[in-house]
Amino acid sequence: MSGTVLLPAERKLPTHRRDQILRSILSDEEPVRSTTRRARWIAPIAVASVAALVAVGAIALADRDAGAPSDSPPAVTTSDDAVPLDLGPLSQAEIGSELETFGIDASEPLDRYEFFFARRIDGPDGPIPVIVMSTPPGPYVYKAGDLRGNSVPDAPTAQRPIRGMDMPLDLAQAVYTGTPDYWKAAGLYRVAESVDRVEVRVGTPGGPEPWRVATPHGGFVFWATWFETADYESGTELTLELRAFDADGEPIDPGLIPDPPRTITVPGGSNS
Amino acid sequence: MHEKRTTQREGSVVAESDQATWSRLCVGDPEALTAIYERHVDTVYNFAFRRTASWSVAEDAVQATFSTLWRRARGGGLSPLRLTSARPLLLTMAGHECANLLRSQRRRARLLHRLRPSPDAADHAPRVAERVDDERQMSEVRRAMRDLPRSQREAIELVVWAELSIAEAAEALGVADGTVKSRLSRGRKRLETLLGTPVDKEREA
Repeated sequence: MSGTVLLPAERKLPTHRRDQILRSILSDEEPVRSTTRRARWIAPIAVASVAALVAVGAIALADRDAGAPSDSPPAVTTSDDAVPLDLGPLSQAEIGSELETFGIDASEPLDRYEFFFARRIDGPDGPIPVIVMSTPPGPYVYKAGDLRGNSVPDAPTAQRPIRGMDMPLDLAQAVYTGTPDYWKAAGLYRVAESVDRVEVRVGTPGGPEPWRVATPHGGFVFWATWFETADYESGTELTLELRAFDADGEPIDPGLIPDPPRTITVPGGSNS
Repeated sequence: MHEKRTTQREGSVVAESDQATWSRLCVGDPEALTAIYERHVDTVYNFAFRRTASWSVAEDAVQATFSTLWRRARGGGLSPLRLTSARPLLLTMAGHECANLLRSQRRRARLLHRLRPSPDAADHAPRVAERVDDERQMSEVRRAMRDLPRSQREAIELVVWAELSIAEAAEALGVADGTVKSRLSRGRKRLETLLGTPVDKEREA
């Protein structure tokens, strides 16, 4: 390009498409109401920390068969502008590449390992591989981007269908070193079979961002949300909200979600 | 920016503001949806094209944006319009829809990448070729924009390209007017440095 930033000329939406789209919208007689509209909104609470936070859960011992990767990202029925976080299963090559970071030779037979969760999860810098696996008889391990660990929280129960770890970790430092422009929160939860999905979003002074939808596999669900700190003036208070639903689309009691809603004070960003 | 359009009613010309039309939309009036659609569909269409560099995705974004608007209207979930124009809100919604569509498109692209292209797939009709040229050109602009923070990209998209006022863009982005101005200024400078060209809205005839 030279001379100017030359944009293509504006166009009018072709008349037949213009009419077709409007007709299509208006002919939808029954309002489409997603199940998530029934969800209770969670009031934010204040916390002092401005660091990015990850709540790391553990591995569902009783849910192993659910970990078989499907061929495509899951279909998600949720609010109108929700964004799926799950971008599909990791390929064998990707899994092999990740295993090498554990010191495992991917050319060896892998059937002695058990994979619970091996998915590509969306993030601010593009998808990251997230793996939860067991290395019998050794520990269970997880890996989310550059973050890894082998802590094992308690198994979910009917009374506590979503479990996380009590100790928050700073994912911004662990995973997003070198990208200080982002604030990110993420977590790996261990969930009961009754949990259909976990949704998370950031509320801003201009209105909430879309819900990001995390889908369980193998008894795990990895959720993440983020924003660019430059989008907000330092000191701006945003909210982080999570909610979860069962297979019938009914909201799960917010009190059972390990990470309560919270206020995030933007640490950096523009002061203009 | 005041959005008023004239409509013929009982032989007289009646000007109705976006705010008035929006009030009717809030109670599920299909005529109000039609009016808002007719006023802003091309703005949304061109905004979505500049965001996605694809005319076909832009059509999908139009459908998704107004479908969402209508669902919210019929579900009683629309708030009264605070600004005089519905454009900032519609472009914000369109931005979300574009993000969703681009994600879907990337997934499809990964799948298609594995398939061999059909020799019969090419369509050399002039109109199609023009659209492809547009998309190639817009992709170049988007590539340059990638080096800007999202906040600066959005300011340029809304103020320079979609011609929102500073106040409208600030409302759409949920920030102060001054923040939009500074983002715009920084974005212009950075983009001009990257491209060695001005970024004012200049289009092909």
